Amino acid sequence: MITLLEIENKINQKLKTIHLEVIDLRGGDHIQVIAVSPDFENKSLIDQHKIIYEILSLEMKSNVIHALTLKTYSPSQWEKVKPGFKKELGHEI
Amino acid sequence: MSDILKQIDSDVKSNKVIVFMKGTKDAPQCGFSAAVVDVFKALGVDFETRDVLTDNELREGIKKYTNWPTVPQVFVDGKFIGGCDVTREMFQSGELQKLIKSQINT
Repeated sequence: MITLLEIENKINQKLKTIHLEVIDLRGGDHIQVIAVSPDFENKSLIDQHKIIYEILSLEMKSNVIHALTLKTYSPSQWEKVKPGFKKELGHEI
Repeated sequence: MSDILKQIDSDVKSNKVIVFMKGTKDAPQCGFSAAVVDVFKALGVDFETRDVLTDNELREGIKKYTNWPTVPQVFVDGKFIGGCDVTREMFQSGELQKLIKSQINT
């Protein structure tokens, strides 16, 4: 089992974020991460996600995190989506 | 390149849109796979699928092929675009529609 704070710390150790949320969607192993980082500037969505997956690869491989749902933005993207931003996934887990 | 990777490579190159998923279009076996199927059904785009639950070699092979640890995995015109989150986000931003339109008309 891993705590949300441990996930947050792990991400913050490797990635500068101006906004970071780690949410337990279900059972402690279905995790949502919302991250805004300058490192995401000019990166495709999949490359942004790869950065987070890389940071949490041990937890994913060991199935400590079974499902990881991501919403990632560069600061400029975040400014655009922030007004209408919704955390909901719009689909079941 | 191993056989399974060759097979994936040819599947990816011979289909405009292909989704490696858990289950089938009509019977997705996981919420994330179902969400991706819903996106392409909403777009009215016909797409190919492969059920990784029927073949463990495929299930592991696809992760090696893209160096991406999870399923579903979506390919448009031979290019890996991502899993459920990326596909939904691109659908909501309209980027997916643009990508597919540009590929289907060529």
